[in-house]
Amino acid sequence: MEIGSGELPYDEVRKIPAALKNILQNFFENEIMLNEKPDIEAFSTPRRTVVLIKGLPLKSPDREVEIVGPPVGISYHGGAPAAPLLQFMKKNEISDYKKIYPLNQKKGVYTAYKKRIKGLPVRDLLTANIPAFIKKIPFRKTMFWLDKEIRYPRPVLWILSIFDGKNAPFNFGDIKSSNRTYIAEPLSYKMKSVKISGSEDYFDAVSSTGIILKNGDRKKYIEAGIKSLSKKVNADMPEYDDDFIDEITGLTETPYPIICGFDEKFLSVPGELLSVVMRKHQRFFPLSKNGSLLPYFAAVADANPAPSVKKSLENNIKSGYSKVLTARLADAEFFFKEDSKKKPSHFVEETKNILFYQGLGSYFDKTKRIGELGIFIAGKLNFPSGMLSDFKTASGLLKFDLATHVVYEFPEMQGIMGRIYAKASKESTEVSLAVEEHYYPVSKAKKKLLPSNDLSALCSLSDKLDTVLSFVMLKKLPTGESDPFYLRRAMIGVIEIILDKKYKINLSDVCNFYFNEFFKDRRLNADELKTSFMNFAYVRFKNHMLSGGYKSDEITAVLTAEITGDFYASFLKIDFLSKFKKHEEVFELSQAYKRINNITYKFSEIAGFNESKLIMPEEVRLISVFKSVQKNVVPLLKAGDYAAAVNEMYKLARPVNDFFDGVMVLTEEEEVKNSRLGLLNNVLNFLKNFCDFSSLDL
Amino acid sequence: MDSLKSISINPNEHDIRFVEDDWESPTLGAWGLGWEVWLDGMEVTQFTYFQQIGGVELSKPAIEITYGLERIAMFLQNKDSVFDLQWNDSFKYGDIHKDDELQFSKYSFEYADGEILHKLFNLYEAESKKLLSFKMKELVKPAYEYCLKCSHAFNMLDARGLISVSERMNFILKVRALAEGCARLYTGYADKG
Repeated sequence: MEIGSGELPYDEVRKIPAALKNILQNFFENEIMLNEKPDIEAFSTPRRTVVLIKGLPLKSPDREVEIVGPPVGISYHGGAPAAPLLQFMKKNEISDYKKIYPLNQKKGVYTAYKKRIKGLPVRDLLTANIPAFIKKIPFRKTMFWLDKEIRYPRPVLWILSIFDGKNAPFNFGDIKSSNRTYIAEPLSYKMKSVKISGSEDYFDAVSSTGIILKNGDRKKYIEAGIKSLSKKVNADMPEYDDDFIDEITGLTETPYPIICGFDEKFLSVPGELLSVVMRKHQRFFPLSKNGSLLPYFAAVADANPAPSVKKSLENNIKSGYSKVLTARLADAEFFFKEDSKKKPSHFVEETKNILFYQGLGSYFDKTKRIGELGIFIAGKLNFPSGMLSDFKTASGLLKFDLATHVVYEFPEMQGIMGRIYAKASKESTEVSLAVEEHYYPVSKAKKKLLPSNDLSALCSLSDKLDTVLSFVMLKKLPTGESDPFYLRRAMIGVIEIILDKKYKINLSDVCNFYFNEFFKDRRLNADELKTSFMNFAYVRFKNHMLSGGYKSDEITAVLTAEITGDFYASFLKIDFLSKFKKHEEVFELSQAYKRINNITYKFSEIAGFNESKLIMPEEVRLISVFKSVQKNVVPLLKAGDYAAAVNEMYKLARPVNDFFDGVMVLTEEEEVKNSRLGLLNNVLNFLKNFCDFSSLDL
Repeated sequence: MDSLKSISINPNEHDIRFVEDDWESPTLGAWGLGWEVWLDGMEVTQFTYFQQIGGVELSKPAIEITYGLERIAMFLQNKDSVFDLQWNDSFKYGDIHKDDELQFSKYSFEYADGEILHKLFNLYEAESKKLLSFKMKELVKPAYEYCLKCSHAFNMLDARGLISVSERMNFILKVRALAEGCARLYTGYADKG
């Protein structure tokens, strides 16, 4: 089947093959119960949606379906069918009531019957159901063009449908399917109708016009074309995201890669800006050699010219594309030159008039908070004092480019222009780079970019934490799917940086500092805000760990006992557990942990113990081992050497077990009992410092 | 394609593309799906299959094709600026239109007065509302005329940045109510309630 239509949006083109395959597979396997799975292929171009099914039987198999009748209790009268059952038999054309049997259902015992459903010609099944299949494709946006009930992303122009070599007719609104497709006539823009007798015939006809039906093939063809053309002008293969190439794949059915040029004078404009103009606004591939932009670009037209017009077509495309791009580049150049007349300090002033968010002040106010917050974080991370003066300069410059012409016109240039303008006004390389990298982590051309040094990381952490904490204050954390202020992304960014840079910092301290320091006039309930922030952060961290392949029990074991938001330490513990949780040490410790927990959970309020009351050898032994382990483990935990810490803690397993084997904890003597429970609670809480061993799935 | 061919643009020698570009006017309660047409990368035409106008769901789509005449002329005359287009043998496009452009730019960016524009908006709105309140079909065109003037005043205010983000929606809804009133009166929906 081929659905010919007006040009579909590229993202609809992209989703069609998988969606259609799914719908058909479900129909064949679950609705008409074919014994053998047919081979289904689906393709899409802007103008064609195509499905090819091989290995379909002519008839669907006969099958039995169990149908349920009235409850047994009302179905018989003296052994013969009563009225309700007779009605059921009549409706389902059952002649022999003896074939009806009892069936246990949730609500009681019911009558049931195995009804035979005869197979039907698959041709008829398909033609009856295809219109419904088309309606089921989950398009983003559909329209009607004649019949209000018939919708598609753009008007359908024709439908070709062939089954077993012959037309399989059905109607989709005003369109009657036939055995004809439409392809471009050579040297004419008119479409001509071609009669098709089978799939080979169809593929021959379509490919003769240069159309590449298979989405994957089209993508490869475009990539290969760009690669060989880049070589021709001695450029490196351009970098791009998958989305970018998919977009172009969805915009062409006869892709025609071509190299064009633009005036070299534009190369005085920063290459990053030129590249954005080319990519985002024209879908062109900027070309460069060893990182510097060349006055060429690669583009993909949609054409299949006859030899006689090839030359003039190429000339037209080259001059047309260049002209359109030139107008855009001239705009970009103008904005860049205008901005360059002024110093960053001028734009910093202007950020006082750009609102960050109602109730959170301007971007200028935001950078003030970032500055103070960053100094606090730098202190916690023991950054050298030399870095602080760089940070003070950088933090003041993080948002000034939002006031520039270029960023106003090309918002995706934020940060990049900041870096360029800062560098041009003689800021240091580190400070300039931090202005760009404070937006990191970002994904670019299939790679994830993280801040490259501590200064950039500090700027990024401070900005993102200010964003999240300020919206926590406004009680505007995201709920459900939507996240209009990108707070989840900001929080995940914080976590990624902390883990990447191995920063040991308690986010709970940052939160305390924040609500002590800022928005003082608002009478904030700091405890409530902290809870909401920490919960938000923990959920993001947990998801981040899960997507990194760690198991839920490992994460829970560590996070149950963690309250400070020290995510790097938590990560190390989780990583340790994932590697070693099956080892004897962890296993034995968790058994001991559970034994203690089983008895003390009712007495968790007992915190201390009287050592003089604990005189049995097992008690004395446990106390002495506990003291030595405690002394040794504290520095190990602090240093993050969890393997050594667990090895040390493991020394407690034996004494704990001996204690339980030799000592009756819940004795009559109140003071002795409480001391024993107190000792056990101390051991338990000490182990919990590392993790909640009882959560581990062993 | 025929229309391009008739002005000497042979579609076989150009890259002509129909690229998704849906159109929506929140003030007029109108939207539709369609394309912008690229001629060797330049947008020259816009297609819209309207699905709704004046807040009324259409029973048959109204189809709009708009040609960017200046752009097509620039293409044909191979000019980079619209003002350089040859208007006829003696005059350029700029000779005819550049002064309009300058004067209205000067007015819009430097002299347009927010207070006056606000007043005009309110006057136009009141007049359109009054005309609609008579529920007379023979007054629907003047009512619509004032609705468009109202929409224009809004656009001027909006372009000058004289409307805050929170006010903006209210302005849009006011114009939209007029557009819907006109559409309902015109189609007879108003009689049927």
